[in-house]
Amino acid sequence: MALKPAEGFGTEPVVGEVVVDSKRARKYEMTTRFQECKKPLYAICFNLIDARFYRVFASAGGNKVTVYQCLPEGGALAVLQTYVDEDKEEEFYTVSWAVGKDGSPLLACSGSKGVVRVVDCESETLQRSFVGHGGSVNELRTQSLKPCLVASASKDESIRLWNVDTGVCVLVFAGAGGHRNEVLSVDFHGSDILQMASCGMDGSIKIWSLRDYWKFVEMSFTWTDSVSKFPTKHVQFPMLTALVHNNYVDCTRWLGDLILSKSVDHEIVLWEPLQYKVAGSTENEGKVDVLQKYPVPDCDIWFIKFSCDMHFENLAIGNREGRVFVWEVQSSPPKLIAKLSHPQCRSPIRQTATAHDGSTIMCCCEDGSICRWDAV
Amino acid sequence: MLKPIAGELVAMGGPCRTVVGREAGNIINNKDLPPIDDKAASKSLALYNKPMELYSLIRSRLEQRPLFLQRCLNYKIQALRQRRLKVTVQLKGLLNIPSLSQWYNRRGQMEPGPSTAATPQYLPIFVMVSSQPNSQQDMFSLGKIIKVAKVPLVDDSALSAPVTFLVPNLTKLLVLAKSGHLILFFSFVDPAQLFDVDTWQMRDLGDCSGGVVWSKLSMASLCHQWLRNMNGSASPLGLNGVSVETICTLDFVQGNLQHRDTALGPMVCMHPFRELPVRSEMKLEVYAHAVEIGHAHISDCTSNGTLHKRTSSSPSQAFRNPLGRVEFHYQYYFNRCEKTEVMEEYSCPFCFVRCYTFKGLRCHLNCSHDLFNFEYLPNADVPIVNVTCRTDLLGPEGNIQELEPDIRTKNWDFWSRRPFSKIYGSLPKAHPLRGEGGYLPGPVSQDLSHGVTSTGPAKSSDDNSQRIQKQAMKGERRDGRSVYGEIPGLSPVKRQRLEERESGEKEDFRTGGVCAAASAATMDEIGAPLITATSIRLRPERNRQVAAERAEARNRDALLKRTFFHSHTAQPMLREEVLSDRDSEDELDEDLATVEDRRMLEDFVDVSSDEKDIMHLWNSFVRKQRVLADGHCSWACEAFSSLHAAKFSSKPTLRRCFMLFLIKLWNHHLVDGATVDKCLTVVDSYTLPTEC
Repeated sequence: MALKPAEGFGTEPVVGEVVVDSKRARKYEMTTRFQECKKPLYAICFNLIDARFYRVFASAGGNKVTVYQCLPEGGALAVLQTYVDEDKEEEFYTVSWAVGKDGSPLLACSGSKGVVRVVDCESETLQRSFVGHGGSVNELRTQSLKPCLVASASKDESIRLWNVDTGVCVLVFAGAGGHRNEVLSVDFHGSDILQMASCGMDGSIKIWSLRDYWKFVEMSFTWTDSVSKFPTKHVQFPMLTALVHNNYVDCTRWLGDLILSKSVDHEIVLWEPLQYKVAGSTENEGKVDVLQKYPVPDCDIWFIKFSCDMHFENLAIGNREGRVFVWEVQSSPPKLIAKLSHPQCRSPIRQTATAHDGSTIMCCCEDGSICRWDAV
Repeated sequence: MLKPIAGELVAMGGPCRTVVGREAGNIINNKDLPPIDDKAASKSLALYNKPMELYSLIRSRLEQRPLFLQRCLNYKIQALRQRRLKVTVQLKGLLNIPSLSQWYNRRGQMEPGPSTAATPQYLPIFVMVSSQPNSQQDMFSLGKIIKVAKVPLVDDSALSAPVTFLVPNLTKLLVLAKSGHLILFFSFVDPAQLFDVDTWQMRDLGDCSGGVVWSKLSMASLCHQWLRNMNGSASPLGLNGVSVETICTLDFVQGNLQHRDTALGPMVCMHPFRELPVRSEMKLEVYAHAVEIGHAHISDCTSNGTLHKRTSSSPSQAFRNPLGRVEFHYQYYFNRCEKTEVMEEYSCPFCFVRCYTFKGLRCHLNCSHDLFNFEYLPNADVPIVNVTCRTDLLGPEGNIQELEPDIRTKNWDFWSRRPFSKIYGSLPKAHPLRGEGGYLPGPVSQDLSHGVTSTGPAKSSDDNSQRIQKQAMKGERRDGRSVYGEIPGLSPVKRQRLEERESGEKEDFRTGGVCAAASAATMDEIGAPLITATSIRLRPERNRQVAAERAEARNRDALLKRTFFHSHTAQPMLREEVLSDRDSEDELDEDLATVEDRRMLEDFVDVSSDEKDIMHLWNSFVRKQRVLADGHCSWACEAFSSLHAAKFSSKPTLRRCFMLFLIKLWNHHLVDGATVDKCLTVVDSYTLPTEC
């Protein structure tokens, strides 16, 4: 499992130690653990889009999406809403928060059926159902700068950019330069609205540019005509294709201009995409500089996703054994600040959700339970 | 009415028809049957009239307008049927011209070579069929056929070589004979006139002149003698294949031969010697043997003009029946009476086509005359064909009934699994031939009096048709009693058939109405407990129909409810969008292409932005306008410059890049200087449109 040789400065990546750093150590305590359902829970997500609902999170599993409120005292959770899909065979894989035109919180969820459901949580109605993907949707992400834009990564090797306000499919990222296998994760650049990163089962991480197509994105904000008449464009060529991992890449997040990504090699890799523009080269298989590695023991199954708080200080990731590792992301070498485990929590943790300040970490397990860890 | 009585058809028959005999109606087997009702019998016999009439119409039409092949080969038939006379003239007798014979003897002795001794000596006598325009003058036309008869100098008839002429047209012989045609005989007295002294070769007659002995034999006397030999019984033009031989004696006189060109062509003048009285120099006997040839070929010539070889399947049959006689028995009155007709050469009695074999006759009758039934008895010495009328095709009055179209096409629908009526339901009987119907596709005959309405006996159809054609030319029209009678050019047969069909259709409608009423009744009965057989038969059809309708409606609903997805974006489409033909799978996305083009151009580092602009504009222009060939380039340049003239004229650097681009094209011989000039003129002369 040798990684690609480092580019850039040519230095070896800095690997963090899987030992809790004593100076940085932060004490977490499991305050709540409850069984939500019998089906595995695949997604859990804090609403970091809207400051009003920072303590609100949603979990998805089976054909059900539940919205909770983290109550401050005693680690209590309040179930706010539950949405059940009529289709009993639906299995939601991912959930993401968005904001509607009038500021209402929207909840986008999708799963094995490939239909993106957008629920208006304020009016508690289904706002949109996006049809178009030819396979299950593995991840939904919201562009935080334009919270009405939602990207979906699908099994059909494509990424679609939706406008949940107007309900149009703005762009399709697929084709000649697209992914060659299921797309497992997608993320928007935190500050550059024109960049997206995606990764998938083909082991590649692709960085897409929206620059040439931004006019269509803008067109989508004001689209009033029939949805089906929108000139959906296909983005065929990514700006950069990086081969950082040798296996499925199931989660990727932007960290500034750097990218955090993980595969099934027990570690998260922080790397920098280099040479976006290579003069005269048509094939932009980009060079990368792997900066740091965050080892995660017993994390060798795919579809385990990590989460960061809003300021990208803490990163929480579960593993196959039901333990959670919390890393301080922006320190070099990376420092493990907490290693959370509970004897009752043994099933793989598919996804974690970190509150905006990192004080609360939610975990959803495959056995259908939700754990809440609160910083002491 | 046409009646098959003896000799009646002969008048209508063509030249090749051979009717040997026709007997009156025989009564066969009348012992155990009730006595013949004459009226009924004649009525039964009259059944033959209409078909015979039809076939005679067809035949007369064929004679007027023969088939293409026969028309083209007609000249061959004519040539083969022409009667020629082969005349063989042999000269015999003692030559009593001492000087002549002496001279020729001498020449034979002088002639070197061993063969001369063996070969007997001949006197060459020119024999020429010629004409004498003026009987007073001995001037004869120099005919083309000049033969040299060799008369032996020794009196030996066996050695004399005959001269054969072929008189091409026997019918003209008498005319020629009366107009002074004759056979001219002459021989030169002095061989020096005839022979080249050096080579002893015979000269051309045109170069020879001088003293001759000559005589003439007129055709008239020859014909006269032939006639006398024929005992005056046969016609002068028909020697009937018998050879005729005449012998006459010719007196040869001396004269002087001179050639002369006259208005009538080259002539030969025989001037008598002035100083000498005309006296007989020698006498020769002429044996003229005439035989007519060509007559024998007449029967051997097929309708295609080729010689027919008589091939009979059994030689014994050919021996027994050398003339190919066939007896036709026309049976009528429940086959109790019959009329007999005998044809030769296996000819068809209806259209007189010679079939040459009995098998051929059989094929011909079966395929061409399907209004009769034929029964063939080939084993007799004279084969017999029993003819009866087809009552299924002929109505009670002998009218030819309309054949149902499905009867005619019945034999042809073997490729369709189900009959037409089962596929399309029981449609009312359609008559697709309406207005075009009839056996005779063309105007067979304009003879309006020839149809069923006429009562008098039909004369020769030729006369009638001519008369009617004249009437038609004058604009006269006999007012018909039916609606179809007013249609000019409609043959009476057709008209009659149309009338019949119309009445038939009326009947059809009537019966169809009854059927509809019956079916309506059964519809009402469906709800009733009593289920008739008809309703049982009807119900499944009805159910099937309803089921089909329902299925169709269901399919249509499903189709309307169904969501259609765009082929590119997989987005659901509205129905009107689906129907608006907007989504085509191979359409090129212009924006995407532009983006891609831009992206690729951005990779160039050594190109200025203006050049990139020009490249991009040109690329999109070429892509959009499909400029493919070099030849398109000059047009494309002009259109390109006029399209982007505003851009180029507003930005000098861009214009410069455009100019460089044009020069590049010019370098590659894709555009010429004039085009470059024109493009730049377009750009430079561009003025901003004035704002209104």
